[in-house]
Amino acid sequence: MNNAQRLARLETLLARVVERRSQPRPVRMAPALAPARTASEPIAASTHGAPKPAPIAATPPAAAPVPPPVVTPPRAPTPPSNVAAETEAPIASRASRPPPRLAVDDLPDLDLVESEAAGAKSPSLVPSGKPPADSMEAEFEIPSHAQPPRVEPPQALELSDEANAEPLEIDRAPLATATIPPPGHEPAHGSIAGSIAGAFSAAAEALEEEQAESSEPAVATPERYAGPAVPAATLARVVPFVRARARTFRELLERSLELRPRR
Amino acid sequence: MADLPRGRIENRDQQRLVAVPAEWLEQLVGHARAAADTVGAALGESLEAEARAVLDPASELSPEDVAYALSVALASRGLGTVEFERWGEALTLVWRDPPGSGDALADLFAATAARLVGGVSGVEVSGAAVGREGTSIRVLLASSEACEHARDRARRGESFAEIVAQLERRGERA
Repeated sequence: MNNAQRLARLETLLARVVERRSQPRPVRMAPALAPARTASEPIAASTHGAPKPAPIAATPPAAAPVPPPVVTPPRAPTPPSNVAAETEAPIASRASRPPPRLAVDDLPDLDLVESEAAGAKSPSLVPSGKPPADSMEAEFEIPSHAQPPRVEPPQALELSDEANAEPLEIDRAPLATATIPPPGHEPAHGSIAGSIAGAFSAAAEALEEEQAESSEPAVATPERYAGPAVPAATLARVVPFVRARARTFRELLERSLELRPRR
Repeated sequence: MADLPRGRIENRDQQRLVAVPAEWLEQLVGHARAAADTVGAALGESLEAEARAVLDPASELSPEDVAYALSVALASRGLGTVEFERWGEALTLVWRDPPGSGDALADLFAATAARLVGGVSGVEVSGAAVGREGTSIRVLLASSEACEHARDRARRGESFAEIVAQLERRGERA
């Protein structure tokens, strides 16, 4: 999956997040009741129920709203060099040996995909010490065919067991690290981070425009109405009929005030 | 001005407004019909400033100018619009698309129109609901004596043409 595809998928995710934000509002007015968002605020920073971002590095989760990564199997059947002897065997079989030091090339291609549940726990490369060995075996088994199915759920990145709990190290920076620049900082142009930031910024602007439109009060613009529009048949019954000329409103009103009931 | 985050609707003088269902207003007026004149006059008074705001006080006002100003004031409250007619010497105000069609509400609007017209023109005038045309209410703007006479005849089912035919200018012979 190239960067363009990743970006397209992220934009789809972003659109769903924005849509999810709008769903709990029972009425269209609700957006106007909310305080206006500043343009510099990243929209994902206030998303309720969205999965917390997780960096694709063996560090604690950062505050930047990065979509959760999910490990996908290798593109080619050729395994990394330091696991070459275990091409056909599940990775879990290494549990009895010292844990390997995996480089980025050792890991399957990292991809940005949407988490199934809005509040799903983000994957982490930090060992939790509790994942069962069976799940590792099922999730990291390298099949014989070239393109095995994608590994899900995100907990598949828990590459540790109770006996050999040691964090995995990634030797170089991951390919897809989505970071949102802090307010006032320009996104890195030409990078995935910049593209993601641009997507968030565009979504935030669209949301602000929608809120601005929904909060605009209706302006009454009545048309100018002309004077008498009385049917001729009706006028014929009116005695005496005096044709209205260019008189002021005050004159017309004073003439009407002179009327009294016939005796 | 609608300050929805604070739950307030205000006019240009920071006086609070309340948007209530038109049906509720009609029911309320129906239960307090005796107070229609008083409440209607108060409503007209509250609308006078908004009507004046679109008028040029230095110029002689044409009927079209006044109709426009009153329409602005009423339309901003969702009360409809107005135009004027002359039936002989009789000046009438046609209240287009009012928020109700009951007799009690028509009496209230007649009082509102009289107070509003009087406030804008500076001429004290009375109002009487003298008939309907579709969803519109026709209000005679005249003296209190003529309005009382017209109101009685309208309640008897006479058309406005018949009512106007029973009116004459002072000094004319019947």
